[in-house]
Amino acid sequence: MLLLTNRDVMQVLTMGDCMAALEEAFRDLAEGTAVERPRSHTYTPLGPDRYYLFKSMDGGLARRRLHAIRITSDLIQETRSEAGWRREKLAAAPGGRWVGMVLLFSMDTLEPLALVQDGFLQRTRVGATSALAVRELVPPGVEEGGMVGSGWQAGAQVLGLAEALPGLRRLFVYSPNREHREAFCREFQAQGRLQLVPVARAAEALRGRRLWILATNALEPVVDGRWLSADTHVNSIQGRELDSRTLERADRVVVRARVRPSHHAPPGFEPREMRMAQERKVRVEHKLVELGEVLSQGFHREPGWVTLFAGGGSGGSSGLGVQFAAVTDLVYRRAREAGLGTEVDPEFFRQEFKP
Amino acid sequence: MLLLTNQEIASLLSIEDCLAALEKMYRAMAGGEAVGTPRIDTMLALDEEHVYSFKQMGGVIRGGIQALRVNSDVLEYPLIGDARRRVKLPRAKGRWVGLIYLFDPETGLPEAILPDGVIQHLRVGATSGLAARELAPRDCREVALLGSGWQAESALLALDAVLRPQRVHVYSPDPDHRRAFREKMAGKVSAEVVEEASAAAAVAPAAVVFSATNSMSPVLTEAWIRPGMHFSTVKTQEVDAAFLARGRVFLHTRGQLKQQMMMAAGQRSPEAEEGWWRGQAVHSYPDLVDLLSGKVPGRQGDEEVTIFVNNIGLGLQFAAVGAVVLSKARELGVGRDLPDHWFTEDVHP
Repeated sequence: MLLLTNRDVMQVLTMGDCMAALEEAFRDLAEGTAVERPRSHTYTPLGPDRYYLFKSMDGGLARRRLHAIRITSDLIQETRSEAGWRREKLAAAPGGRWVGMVLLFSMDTLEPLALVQDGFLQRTRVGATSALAVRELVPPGVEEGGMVGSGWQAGAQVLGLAEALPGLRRLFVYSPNREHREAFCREFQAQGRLQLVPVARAAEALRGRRLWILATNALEPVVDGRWLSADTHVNSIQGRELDSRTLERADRVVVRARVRPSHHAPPGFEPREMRMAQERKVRVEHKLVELGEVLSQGFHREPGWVTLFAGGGSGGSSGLGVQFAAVTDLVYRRAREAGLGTEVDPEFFRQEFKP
Repeated sequence: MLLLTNQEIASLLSIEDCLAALEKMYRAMAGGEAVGTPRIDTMLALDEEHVYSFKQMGGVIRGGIQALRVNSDVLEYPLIGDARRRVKLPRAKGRWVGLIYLFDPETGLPEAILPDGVIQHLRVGATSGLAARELAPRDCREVALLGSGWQAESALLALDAVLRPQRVHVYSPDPDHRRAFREKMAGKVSAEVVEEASAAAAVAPAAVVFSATNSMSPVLTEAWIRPGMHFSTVKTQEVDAAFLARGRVFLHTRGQLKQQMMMAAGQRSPEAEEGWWRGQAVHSYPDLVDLLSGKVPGRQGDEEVTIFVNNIGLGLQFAAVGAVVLSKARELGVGRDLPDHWFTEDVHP
């Protein structure tokens, strides 16, 4: 079994390859040669607004003869700032570190082939998935867009946009902290052709733009659906950043999968994010489309439509096991070719006991 | 991060440890101090006869451990005799793959990766054992055991520890399997292990009947029922509705009746059979948490027929038993440590 760190993943994973691997996996899901298990979240209270959150999601790809499970083991602190409630993953593991990993299993030899740190892979996966959605759903002729967020997810969004939409010239970027958004724009400006313009208000970034990119960890809406004009595509990484108007206005809501996650907590304990995930005010089931269907059958966009690609908490699932299977497979093959990683004796992971 | 082998786990864990850890866990469940995630199996056809199945279950006990147990299996469904069986093929170089990952909820740190074999076997037996302790008739001397596989081994260990019978009458269809089972187990239990040539012969002298088979069709028959008996099964398919109607029934857990199957678009599950567990009566059955917390009384009188159905396993059992193994291994310095920084990261996930 091969152990791969984020450094190893960074050396072998590109945005373009990641998009191609994900596109194949989403098509397989739509066409019945991939399988997905609804993700599960378990919450254990550890103090005021603080809890242990264990998440797992898994999925398999018959084409690749692989199954992957991604695990995160997080200490979450919900904090209130001027901008509203946010959730932070605390670096609580020894040495100020986080815990997230993907385990890749072979359908032929059953055993785990690799254990891969998920941080870089995860970021690239989110950016690449958004990029696939943007590529398929953006109205024709869009040259300018607006973005809310300037954290690490936002960075992957910019890299994905550059890959998916070569015709995009300018992106207006808002995030609550001026220094953050300016530094973010400088950093990503230097990396590509896309011009990044920091702005002081979300409305300034988004109003009238026909491409919205939302990439925040906000637990409350960061947009106002009244800013939407016709023929717009909204790309969001998680449902809590969206307001009801945007969800109501959307003519089609494209999701990774219709299957909903399951949330588990002791009686009487209900973290904010769990409550919000369960009490959605706007029903969108009738306008859901899976990304796999879009990639496999194409998407017909009616004039005037507002389309939304939505993350978890807005009617569909957030990250899928099959996405991790596809991207981790790619990373594993490249790392093997490049001779990266640390080998652990596979005998530890096989047993003579029939389970 | 500790890695242990099955041999090491077997040297650390007894059926008594397992019984004690599980009993504590069921009480934690009754008190709202434990949270499990349902068992969900994905299934993907590899060819006409083989299915790849990835199974996961998990759970966390407050003040304890978060566990995730996964199994990576290739299944086939051959007809053996006139019964359909579910067979896991040893495609991992003649072996199988089932793993338990243990995490510390205070720091998120992965503490151990364990093969699931020994723990899996013992926890299934211990579950039925705890039920039998509350539901079996007093002073039960003769017990019948149907099956000679690993489920039967752990059932025997548990019932021997809990009921202390004089004799255990073992039947399974293959005489060689029966003999091998008796020879293997005779020295491990205080009861005498007796081979029987038919299920009816095994059951005839017994007041308690344990069915521990991999059968996909009913094993227990109504003709065997006498007043005061206790029946225990490890699979829903081993009993039918008519049999269950003859006694007071306890499930292992009401929270999830059977595993959920996730299939690829357009595929059908090879195990999507109908059964009593899809009917209405099942919702009236209490479970082991009700029984051990005292919410529902155990055996009521010498004439009562009681039936325990281990309808599905709980991921929480791996958190409970895994914690015992981990703490004993740390205390005795068993196993090997891998560097923690391989399993943690400095990139925000």
